[in-house]
Amino acid sequence: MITLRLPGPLFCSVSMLALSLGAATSPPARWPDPVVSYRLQAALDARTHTVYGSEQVTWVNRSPDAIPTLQLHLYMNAFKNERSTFFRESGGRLRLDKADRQQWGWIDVKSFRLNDGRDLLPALKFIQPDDANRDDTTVAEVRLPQPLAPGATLVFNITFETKLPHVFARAGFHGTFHLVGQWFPKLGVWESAGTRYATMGAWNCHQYHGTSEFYADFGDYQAEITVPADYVVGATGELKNQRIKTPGTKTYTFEQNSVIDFAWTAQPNYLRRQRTFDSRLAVSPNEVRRLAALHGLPPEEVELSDVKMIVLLQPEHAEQEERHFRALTAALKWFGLWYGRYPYKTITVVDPPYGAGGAGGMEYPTFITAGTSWKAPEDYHGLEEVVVHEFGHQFWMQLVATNEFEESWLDEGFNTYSTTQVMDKVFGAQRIPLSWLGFNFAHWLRLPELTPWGLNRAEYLLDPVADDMVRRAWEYERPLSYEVNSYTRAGATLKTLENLLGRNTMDRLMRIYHQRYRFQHPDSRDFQRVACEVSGQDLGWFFDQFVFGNRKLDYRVGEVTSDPVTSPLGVFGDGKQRATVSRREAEQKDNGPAHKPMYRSEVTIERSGDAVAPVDVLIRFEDHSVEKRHWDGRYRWVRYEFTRSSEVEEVIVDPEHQWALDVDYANNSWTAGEQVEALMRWGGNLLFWAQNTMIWMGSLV
Amino acid sequence: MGLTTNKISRAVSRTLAHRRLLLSLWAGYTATSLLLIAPVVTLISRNIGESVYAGQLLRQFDLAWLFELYFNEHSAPLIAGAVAFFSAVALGVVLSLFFEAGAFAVLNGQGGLFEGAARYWSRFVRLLILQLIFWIPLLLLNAGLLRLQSYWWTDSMEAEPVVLFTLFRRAVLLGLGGLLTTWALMAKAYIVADHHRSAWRCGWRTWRLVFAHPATLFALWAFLSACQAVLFALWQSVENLVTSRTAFVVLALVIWQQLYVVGRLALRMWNWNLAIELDLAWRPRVVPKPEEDASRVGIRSAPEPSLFSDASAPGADESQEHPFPGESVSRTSPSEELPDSERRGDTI
Repeated sequence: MITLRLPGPLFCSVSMLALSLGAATSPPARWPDPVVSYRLQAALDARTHTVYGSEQVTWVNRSPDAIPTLQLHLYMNAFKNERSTFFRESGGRLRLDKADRQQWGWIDVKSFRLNDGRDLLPALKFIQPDDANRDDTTVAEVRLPQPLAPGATLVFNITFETKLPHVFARAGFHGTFHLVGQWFPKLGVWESAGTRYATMGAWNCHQYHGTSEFYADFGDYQAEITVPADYVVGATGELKNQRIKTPGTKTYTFEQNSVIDFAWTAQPNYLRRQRTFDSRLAVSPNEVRRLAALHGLPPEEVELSDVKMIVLLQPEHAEQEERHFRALTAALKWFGLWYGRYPYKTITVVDPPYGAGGAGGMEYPTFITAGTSWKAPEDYHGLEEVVVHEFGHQFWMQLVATNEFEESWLDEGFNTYSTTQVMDKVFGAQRIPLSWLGFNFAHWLRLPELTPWGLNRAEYLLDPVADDMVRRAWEYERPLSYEVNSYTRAGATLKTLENLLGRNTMDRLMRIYHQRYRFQHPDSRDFQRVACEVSGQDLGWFFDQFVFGNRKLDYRVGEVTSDPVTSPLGVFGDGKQRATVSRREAEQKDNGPAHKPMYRSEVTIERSGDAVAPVDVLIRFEDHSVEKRHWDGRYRWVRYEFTRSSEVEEVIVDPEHQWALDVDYANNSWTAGEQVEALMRWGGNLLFWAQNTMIWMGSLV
Repeated sequence: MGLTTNKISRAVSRTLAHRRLLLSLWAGYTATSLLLIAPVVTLISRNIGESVYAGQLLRQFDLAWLFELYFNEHSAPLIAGAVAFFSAVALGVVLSLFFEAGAFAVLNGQGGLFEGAARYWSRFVRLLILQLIFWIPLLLLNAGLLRLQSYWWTDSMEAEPVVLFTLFRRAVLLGLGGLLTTWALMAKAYIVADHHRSAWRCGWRTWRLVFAHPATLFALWAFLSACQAVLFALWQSVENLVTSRTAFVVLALVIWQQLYVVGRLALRMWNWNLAIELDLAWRPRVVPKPEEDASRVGIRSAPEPSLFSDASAPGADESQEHPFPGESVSRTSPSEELPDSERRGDTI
């Protein structure tokens, strides 16, 4: 499916039509026509950790362009040597893991022929569309004998060998564990003019980077995977068949329509556990009715379908089986209810073994990797969060297939927002973990509690304004800026949008955006358009500053004064009416029994950041009366004046904490009384721990 | 066992008898800590001293506040903050040694706290340097065990054996570290008891003492560590009972924290007294001849001076070396012969 950009008015009318249709067409009655189909065959040599593979690719040119070339991902070459772009960017360290420089990975294309037998291999050359690194061989291009006409179909066959690296970043092997991802030659995406930001037809086929790896067309996959007979296999899609072809090996056949990638795993001693997500048990009729009413849909459109849940566990994590299923059930339920039912029949969760942590926390279509540890404490939700998050990518990356290379926030950021919503709703706050052999001391030591949104904001504050949020994933100023902008700043931005629009509007916005762009490749401007449409507001100011810009949002309470109103001194009136009020007379008047003391208060609110946004201000007086003001924030400061019978006691900017993007909550408020309890408590704590450190260090020496 | 129990109870008595010293140490540690935390308290006070947010944080601490502080205080980057922190810790260690030197002198009846600190602090610092040198083989052993772990379990797909080996490695490190700190404690007792000028010689000689009684020393170290763990558990349990955050409750919690600190210092003093007692038992002192100058008789025979007095200090610059058991059969411990009232430090 191709997304075409339409002129403004036409877009509005078409999109409103789509808005109503989108709601009525969830989920698809049939799978969308595939752009590409892969018939894969793979044989794993578990001793050398090499996959001997072949593929038949059927590609349909659904664009209006005649296409002269093919561009293919050969991503396993990222692990070939230290000169690949991926290695140069990551320095051999990524996601808390380190490359094993004795176990490299690569992919060799052995043959490349069109279906009519013409050999394309001699024409195959490596290209570097993202940088000038000639040593990077993760993208290859081949010129076709003649351009492929619009609507025409191309079939070609490739044989290849993929040597897996030791698990470092995502895929690889460790011991007998194999996680086989990004392992076959895969076509890039041909973007015709008007698709996303394209102004002319061209391939969008990025090199493999440390920070991004997904952008592909939807296709139908069928894979035959042959492994040693004692290996347990899990993969994208449904298991259709397993048989023994040759003695000592077993061949598994998996199939899946309308996905953007295919990955699999094999290990002899996996504990394979399977349960069914029973939608009627998991979701109550009330929940369905409430959401149907919110979205204006018939209940049957909101109802979920049953899904086969498969968990491939490490034996030493057997006791954590329930936790995996509980997290997966929660994710299936809430993502399905909020954004539309999960359309596939299976979801497989892989639990990587000790020593293969680099393979954990990854998403592939209908196939995700989680990660836990031996005796992981139950009251720490790390395992649950990774399961929910990776499952969430089925919605934000797989079903709505955004370009992770160019707009990672649409993928990771949307998923961070959704994951945090699920974690907040289902699992709640947790304490900073401090566990030993399964016992979490955090409760007994009363370590601070972390709410999912609190944690998100804390991580956002690590590097809130270094870059624009929308940027190519490898072009952020530093890795931390990529992390913050792709994940937590995006999460805080969407949370702020939710606070501004209201939860119900935000829920409608997210569902409509998801439904409209299911099985498509939307961009950030598409989301902006849907947001404006659903909210009925022009949100350009918001997106320009916080999505396409890097404005810092910081409001603070400036000077607050409350002075008694005294009788004025001086000469008043003219001619015969002229009277002089002396200090004595004024004091007598002010101290007289009839005098009612009044105070003139001034409250200054300042905008310290460069982001301009409307904000609420709450002023509370000593007599408990309250004044509320709404400030547009356009000028640098605003001053409010009051003349009342009591002094100002408290001033709070953004009292509801609507602006999760505000980089400093501490300066958002002012109180007349010093915070004695808090200062005493923290001063006492600091003193206490300093004393203890001294005593402890003293007892060591 | 009987001797050990006896020494433990005697050390308790000596500790209880030095209540003024205990309070002085608490005051010293508190004053030093206040100086060390003053910059941080100023930062906190400036940030939330007048903010409603402080009350919210008191009820429900939000980790994001720490990141806010970091982001908004560009003048205090992380590395500089870490350097400042470790400098403060190093300063704390040095000052801790200062107080310890004074306390050892007081407990040995050799003068006031500051006088003793001035006399023995530099020797304790030299001992610290020696101790840091001894930490090197310990750290090398740890590194070796780590390499062994990596060699044995490079391809392991199970965490259990690795975790168990890690526990074993940490237990070895902890045990040897405990032995090293106990050695340092005994060496300090040795230096003060003998007014020894050479911390290094005392240090090396103390190893003979440690190797002569490893089981007793290790058991005592483990016992004292367990006492500290119990004290911490008691403090934490009471803290956990309190959920209110009114001014009165906060004040009560601060007082409770300080009581814990006093208890921790009392345990530390117990440690020191135990070292002194064991040193006396394992290195018997020479019985003074009647014609010897009374001021040079066994250090426990002189009445202890006022805590801050510099009067009646024994010859601080002169070493009185006492041999190890077996070197001379004619020597006996004064502690066996002198009445308790003269040996205990309860006169200060």
